[in-house]
Amino acid sequence: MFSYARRDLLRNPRRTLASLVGVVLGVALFSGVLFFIDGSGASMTKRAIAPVAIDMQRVLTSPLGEGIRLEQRLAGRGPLRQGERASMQLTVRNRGLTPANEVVVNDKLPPTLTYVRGSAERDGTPLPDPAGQSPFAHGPGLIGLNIGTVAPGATVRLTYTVRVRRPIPAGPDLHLGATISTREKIVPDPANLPHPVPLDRLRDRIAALPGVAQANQLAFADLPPGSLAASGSKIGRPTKLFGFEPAYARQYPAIRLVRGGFRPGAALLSSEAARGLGVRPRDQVRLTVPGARRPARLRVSGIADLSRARQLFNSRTGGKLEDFLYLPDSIVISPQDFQRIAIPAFRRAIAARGSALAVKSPPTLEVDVQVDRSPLNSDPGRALAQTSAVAKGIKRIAPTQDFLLDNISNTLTVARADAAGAKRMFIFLGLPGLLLAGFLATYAGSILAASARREQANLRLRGAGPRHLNRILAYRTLILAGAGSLLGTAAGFVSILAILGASSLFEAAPTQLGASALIAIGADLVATGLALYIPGRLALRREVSGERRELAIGTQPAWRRWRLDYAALIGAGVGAAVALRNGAFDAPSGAVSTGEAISLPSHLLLLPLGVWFAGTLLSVRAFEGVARNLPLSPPPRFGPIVAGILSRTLSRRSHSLITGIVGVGLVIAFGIGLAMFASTYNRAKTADAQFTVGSSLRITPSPASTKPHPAAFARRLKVAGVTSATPVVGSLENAFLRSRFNSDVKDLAAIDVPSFAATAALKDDFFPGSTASKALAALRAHPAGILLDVGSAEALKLGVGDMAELLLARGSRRQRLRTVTVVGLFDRFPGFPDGLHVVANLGYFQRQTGIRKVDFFLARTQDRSAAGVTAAAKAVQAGPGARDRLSVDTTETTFNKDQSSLTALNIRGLVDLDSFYTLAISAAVIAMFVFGLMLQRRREYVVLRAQGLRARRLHLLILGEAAFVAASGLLAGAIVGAALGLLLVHVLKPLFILPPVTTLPWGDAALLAALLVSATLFSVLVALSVLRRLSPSEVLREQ
Amino acid sequence: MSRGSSVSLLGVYKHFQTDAGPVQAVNGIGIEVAPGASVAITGPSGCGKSTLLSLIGALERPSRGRVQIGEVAVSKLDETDRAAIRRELIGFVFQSDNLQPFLTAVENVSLQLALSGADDGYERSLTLLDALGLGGAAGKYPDQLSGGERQRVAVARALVHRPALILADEPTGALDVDNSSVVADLLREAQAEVGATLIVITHDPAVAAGLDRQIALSDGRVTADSKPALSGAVDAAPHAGEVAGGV
Repeated sequence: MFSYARRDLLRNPRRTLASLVGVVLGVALFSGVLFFIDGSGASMTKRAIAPVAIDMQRVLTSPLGEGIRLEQRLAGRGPLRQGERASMQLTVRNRGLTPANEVVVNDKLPPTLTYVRGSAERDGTPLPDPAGQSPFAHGPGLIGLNIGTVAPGATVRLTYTVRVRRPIPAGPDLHLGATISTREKIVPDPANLPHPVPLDRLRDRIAALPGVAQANQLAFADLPPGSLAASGSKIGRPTKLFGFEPAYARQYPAIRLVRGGFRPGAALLSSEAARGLGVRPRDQVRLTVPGARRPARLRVSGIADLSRARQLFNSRTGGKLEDFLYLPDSIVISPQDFQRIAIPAFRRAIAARGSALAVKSPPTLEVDVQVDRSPLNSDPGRALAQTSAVAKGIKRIAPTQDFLLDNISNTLTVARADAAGAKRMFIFLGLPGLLLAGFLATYAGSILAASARREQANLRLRGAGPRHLNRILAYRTLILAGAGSLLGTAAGFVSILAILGASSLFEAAPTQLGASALIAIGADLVATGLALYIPGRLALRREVSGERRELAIGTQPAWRRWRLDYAALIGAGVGAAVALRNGAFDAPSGAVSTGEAISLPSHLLLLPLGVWFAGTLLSVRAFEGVARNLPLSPPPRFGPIVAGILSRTLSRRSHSLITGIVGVGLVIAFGIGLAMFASTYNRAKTADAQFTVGSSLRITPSPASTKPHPAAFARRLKVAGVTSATPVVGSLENAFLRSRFNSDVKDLAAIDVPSFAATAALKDDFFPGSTASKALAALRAHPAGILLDVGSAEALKLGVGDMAELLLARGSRRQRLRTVTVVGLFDRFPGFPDGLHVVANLGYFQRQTGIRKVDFFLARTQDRSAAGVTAAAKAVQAGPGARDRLSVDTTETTFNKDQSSLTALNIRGLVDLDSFYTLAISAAVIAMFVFGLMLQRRREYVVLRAQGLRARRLHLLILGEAAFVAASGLLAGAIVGAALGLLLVHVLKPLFILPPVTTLPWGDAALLAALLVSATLFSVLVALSVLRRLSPSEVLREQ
Repeated sequence: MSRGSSVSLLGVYKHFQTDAGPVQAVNGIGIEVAPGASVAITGPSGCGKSTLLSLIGALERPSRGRVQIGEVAVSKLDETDRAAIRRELIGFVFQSDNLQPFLTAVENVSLQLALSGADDGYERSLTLLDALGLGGAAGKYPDQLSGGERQRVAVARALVHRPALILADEPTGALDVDNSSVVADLLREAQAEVGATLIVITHDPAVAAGLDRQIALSDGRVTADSKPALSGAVDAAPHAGEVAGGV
């Protein structure tokens, strides 16, 4: 039986090819998606961790040395018998510089011990038992004993007696659990904490751990204005003091030495501080640290641009870890100098003020760890396991004296979730390939049913029973599905190799690729096997004599009879309504710092799938209705020959068109939906990038630049490819706003309205109840007007037309308090993705403060494509940037900085893959339809020829029917594809900052339509050539 | 007066190229059929009967030789002109009715008239169907008719445009005895009524016996002819210059 099936397939190559082509294309699409997931997922680790500034930070909780500590011991610790008594000793020592207030000692006994009433003493003085309970664990909350204030250097000894309830062997099995807390340190410390390890030893032990590439000390402290001075000048703003080794500076390129070098014993100044003091290398500066007896004199060894050093300025506060809190005036010394100069001074300051809380910003000491990234697995999940193991090792060293910020693991946690989300999304985008493979296999089977059944009838006549026929069918199915799956998987692999390139694809582990290949082959074997076997099995049950009737009249497809299209569409509609009602489409966005990924509601991807399938079937039902009701020439007229025959065949055999229209419709809907999704996705990505940058380019003068950058500098930025440029003043907490009800520190931007309107990526949506042009016109019309963000307006109870007091240039010597009027509201402002509170007129700001310098410039390029933006950025660097220090951020560099979010994925490759196979499958469907027509109707065509129908008219008949199917499928596909695209965009909304604007891909749709028309014409031409070669006498005698 | 066409085949050859090699279906046949005559062509399966009918019916062109209907050498015509000959001069009846399944009986018949440019053939078709005892079946689709009824509709389709030549390829082959007789009688009566030339391929001796002349074929050659005319001369070898264009 097997050899019969094999020979049958080999000796009917055209039939075998027709059955295989659809399977191969569908399988190639599905397997290609799986390989794409492997290839793109493999680059996610690299991409995700690229922007991580510091992999891990071990931050000391007590940088100024030990404070209060508790020691606990059970006197005479040895084996204890039941009923025996022992003395528990608790010793409180304050090793700090200031008194510890409200010191509470808590000791909850393990179940093996009980407190002996009346045994508690403090320094030999008995302590009362509250309500007969231990004073160290009493009341419903088992609260401890408050021993009041413990002076620096003082010791308090507390004792009580315990009775043993169960025998206790000697050794460390008994867990003593006393804790101590103070008003200054609310979180309780356990007793018997190990003594803190000094920072340099901690660094050495961490550096020796496997998986750690580098470990460096970093110390920093915020100093008040006036802390940094040189002969005759002083920095009037808050200053940042850093302590790190030259190796640290070498490790992080964002710390850019502008002049001189960095030597231990000397100081490195930020460009702004050096300019403010007017000092150069070799000059001397004076550093005054709170609590210091006298200023430290330091020689300047170099000047550095620290304005991009996220390692130094990123917030260390939980929940704000991604905030870049830059202070322009900084001084860097070695960790040894920091220990020598800063730590004792701060300790003295705290001692003098009597409380650690009195010093607003105590120093921070940490070890910054760089993980060895080279052995990290390409899969984010596996890489996470590796970095978590490193983190675990670091935490084991001297625990409890600090906490670990594991930035790289947080990022990889997000990347792992993103990779999983991407896999779900991609599998959804590949699933139609599998369904189409099954559909095409069934379609080919139904087309070839006539010839297959004739052969089966012959076999029956020769004595083959149902079992034999079933076995032949099973073998044929196995061979076709197996060959189709193998060939399709190979084609999918080659396609991805071409799209991603060998370097990206082979980033994935060979086992992963092998697993994907096996999944693809297995899933496709099942899907296409069932699609080939079940219809074949059903066909075997039918009598051969039924063939004629089926060809002539046919029966309605099962989905029509059971109204599956209505049912599925209602299901999808109800699902969408429920999801909308429950806000499932509005999933919250995540934060890399907390390891939270964007919550993509991927289960909702089933909705587009339902709409795709059911929508196509429903629209095909509609087209069939149109065909059935085509106007026919009423008797006694037959009508024009071609129109008369065509209208009758379309009208009366519309069901025979259904499968063709369904096939074309499904493929076109998928293609258009995907193209719409992709173009919307890419546009949304670009819009987000433009919003983040502010326009196409953002030019920030380096603090190291010695050249002036007034507002007029914008004119110099209009280089080739740049159409407009605008100056912007904007920094964090540079303003203070006060209304009649409230006041708050605010972030203010001052803009030149006309050039900003021409340059910035403004959208009307940013201005609730107004438009961008109206809001900016209002600001321009009122020099003392401001635009206020909606949140601030609510907090300060301010509305449009209200007046408020605004402190401009807050914290500088030029700060000015002015009365302003709110002229508009906004909820987002381009160039300030982290939020902005106040927008003022640049001219007004400059007049009031006298400040001429601006913070950055935005520039709009003529060509917004990646190439255009990059070329313009190069032109800026080559022009005004040639003899100046300018940082140019573009929409493209913003994409690269994008953390592991799903928006960073190379969806273009996937779209290329899907588009290619969409085109190929749609061409295959229409070709199969045309050749199906030829197979089923060739006798009709030959009879028409015998009756004298001109060849040209016969061609028109075939073309007309194929064109009807192609056009109906195209229209149905376009309608359903638009709905599919809309739903996909809706599901992926949480990925973007700005709400994505649905984009209709006219070009892609036109290409699809053109290809479908070409495929139709080509198929018809080939079919006609086959028809011409047919022998009429043979065809007419066929039974 | 007879309006049938004479049919003349002169040294006609037809060969096909198959996977197994060339097949000589018609091997130098020469036949002359007088206008209005009825001819039965008999022979075993595969002897070239149907191919011969396709050549006479201008469906195909001979590899060599000349086929002439009346004064027209159809073997020299292109497809467009042969299509015109088929719709104007010839009526076909096939073993299977070969009715268009999406057309009613009357539409199947009137289509033949519509092909000839007469778009008012509905009444004529109805009348003819009525005459053939199919008045009640005019609005039915082929799959709603019995085998005999379908074949009678096929006969009506072949006759409705009053052809000069009726070609029937085993018209009773798929019918039972009763229906065979009805259809055979019908063809003869129709031929007599319109005066057309009738050529019938048949295995049925009774049908063959009812016609004016019987020609037997074997291996693409005429082996017997009840009224031979030019057969002997042209069977031997084709005349030079009488070679029509090959396929």
